[in-house]
Amino acid sequence: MATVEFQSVSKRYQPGTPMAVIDLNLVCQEGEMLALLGPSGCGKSSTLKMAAGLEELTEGEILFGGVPVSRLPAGQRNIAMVFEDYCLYPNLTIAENIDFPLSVRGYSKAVRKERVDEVLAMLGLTDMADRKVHDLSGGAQQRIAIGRAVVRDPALILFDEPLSHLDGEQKIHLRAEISRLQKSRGVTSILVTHDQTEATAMADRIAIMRGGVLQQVAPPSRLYERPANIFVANFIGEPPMNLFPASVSAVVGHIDVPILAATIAVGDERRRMLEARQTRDLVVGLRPEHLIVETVSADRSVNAIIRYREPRGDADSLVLEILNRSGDTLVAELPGPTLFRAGDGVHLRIPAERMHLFDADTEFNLELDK
Amino acid sequence: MTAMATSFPTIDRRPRDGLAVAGLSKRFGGNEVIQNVSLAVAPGEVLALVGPSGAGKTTLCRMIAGLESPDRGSCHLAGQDVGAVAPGDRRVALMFESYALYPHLTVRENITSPLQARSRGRLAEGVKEAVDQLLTLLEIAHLGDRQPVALSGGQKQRVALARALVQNPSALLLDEPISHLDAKLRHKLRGEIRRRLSGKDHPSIWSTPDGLEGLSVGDRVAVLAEGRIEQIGTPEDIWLRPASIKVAKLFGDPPMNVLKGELHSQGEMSFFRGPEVSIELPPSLAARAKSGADRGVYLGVRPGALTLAEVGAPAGVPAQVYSNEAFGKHSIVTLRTGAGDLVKIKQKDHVALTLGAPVSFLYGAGEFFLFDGKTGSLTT
Repeated sequence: MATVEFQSVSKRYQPGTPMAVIDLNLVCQEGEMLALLGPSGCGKSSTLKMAAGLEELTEGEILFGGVPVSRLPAGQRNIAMVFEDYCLYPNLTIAENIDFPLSVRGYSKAVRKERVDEVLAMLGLTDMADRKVHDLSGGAQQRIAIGRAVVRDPALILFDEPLSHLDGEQKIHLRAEISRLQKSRGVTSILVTHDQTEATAMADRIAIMRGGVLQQVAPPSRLYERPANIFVANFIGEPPMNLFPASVSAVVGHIDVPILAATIAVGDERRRMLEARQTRDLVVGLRPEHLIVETVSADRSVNAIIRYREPRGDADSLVLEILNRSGDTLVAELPGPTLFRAGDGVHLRIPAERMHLFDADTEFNLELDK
Repeated sequence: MTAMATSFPTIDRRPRDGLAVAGLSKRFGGNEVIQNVSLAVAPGEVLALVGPSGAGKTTLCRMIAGLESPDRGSCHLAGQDVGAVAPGDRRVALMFESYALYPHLTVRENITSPLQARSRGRLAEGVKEAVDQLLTLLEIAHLGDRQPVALSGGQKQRVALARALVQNPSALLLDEPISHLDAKLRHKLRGEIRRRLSGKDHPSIWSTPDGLEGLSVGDRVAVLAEGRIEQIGTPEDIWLRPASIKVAKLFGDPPMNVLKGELHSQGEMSFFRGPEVSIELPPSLAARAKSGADRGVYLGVRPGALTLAEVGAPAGVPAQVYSNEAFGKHSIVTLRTGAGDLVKIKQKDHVALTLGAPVSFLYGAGEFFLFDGKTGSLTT
């Protein structure tokens, strides 16, 4: 077990092309599951490949437990990888697949048997040990691949989109399983995924990347409640956070929100913060589940019509067109199924305490330190 | 293709009657992968085809496109039986799950390739604008001149999607069109593409293994499992009245908890008795219990209807914490009961829990679903 530290790591694949990873400084703590998350092309896969030794660094250093490894070939880094397509040996049994990394490394028979039996028990596969793997479900195959990764106690496990090929219930089941196994073994792990739900379910902390640049690294709940900038705010959460422009009002302690044609009181603490920072132009963020949708008009409510309704099982997401000249839209999420239909008129209220405030110029969260 | 085209009837008029398949079956070796499937999709309608991998979604789409021939059954497009019509002449736009991009063509050329094939190289007016619009919608406007090799998986998927959407087909079949995109883009495209398709005069099928995606994009949802249609209905039907356990298990994050047990009645009250639980049933389900026949059942409870409680809480079912996942707006706690069942609870707030710690949970007065003990069908 070890920490993994990226020190000013940069990656450029070819001269003249944009950098894939730019000056990455990031530490994965011992026993931690750290997820790398971001849109396609953000640099998460390049980062994983450099840790694995499958790609060279252009600049910087990677340390495992304080020891530089960037010049070590992949085979000498004591890493196990779990891939999206399992990569099992179809003609070997479950037990033989799990045993494989031990047998090629020349472990004694007694040690191999003990370790394999332990992993089989942990995965609940003891009774199936002698079955061939080729006719097993994707979820079962991936569990075996994870068993094969943990069996020799590597310093680090790299998970590369481990749930991508699974569907529905298997995915939901396995993400809980991976997280439980990783916690109980305490093995340092890095997870690359494009799916924020997977990252949130499994990781202790998530590093959000964009265009090769690290945006924020924090526990999932912190990312949700206090996103560092507009990009993270908009990337984390489904449906994504509503974002709309605002400016500090001439009315003391208020902000003007043009798309709502509203002036909203922000409270004393925020008034002092905005004054101290001399901020004028803001972007307001509001999570869809915090937007209040009502059928009767209330004081200071804003008129809107439902453009469309997306049923999501126990929730409905509503795309709402504000009745103003520009036809701006907001998204609301309500416990569902609701009886709302496209075309219904509704009234919206913004709970001021739920607003996130960003600086319109720097795009930083003005209250990140809270 | 030109020589073939003259020998087969072609479809060149605008579709009026949409798509209808009846009694479609297909066997590969000893496996009947599609079994007696019938469904109809109206022009402008989006039918979400939901099923786990291996359910037969792709095979069904390929048969409608004419790339596989059915062993039995018929397929009508725009009122015409297309059983004998060659794939190229059915004018079905099929977006492959595997993308199937031409590696030597640019993104833009890939997108217009089906139009080029039909117009013998000359593109109609307005095509460039239509492609530009799609590239912008799909957030790949900057990639128009690249070749597929320089694209990520998610980018390739969007090129394949654009290539399907740019056509004016007799039917549009999207096979897992947004599975490799991030949540934000998926949210945007679900809404935007669905709106676009609703305004078209062709029927559309949107296949996905993700039940919630199916509920979001479909005017109606068809659930396919092991080659058979389990249920076709509106998103509300599917959610409120899942026809079987198989359907119930496909919808919801996490899906419904299903426990095996028996029905009993005592005087006016009716109970479900499972391993170490006894739950009083609401009057709506009590009639079923009183009838006495066929007492083995499955009880379904959505994770949101369960609540976590202290050890020893009155009416609490004892269990151990198996995992605890926090998702910002809700959290999912998995418990292992003494009988070894895993039960999932979805709650609004996240509470810190130690793995393995003893707790209990309550069924409360939540909504219950009763499924037949033999067939797994919803009992009404």
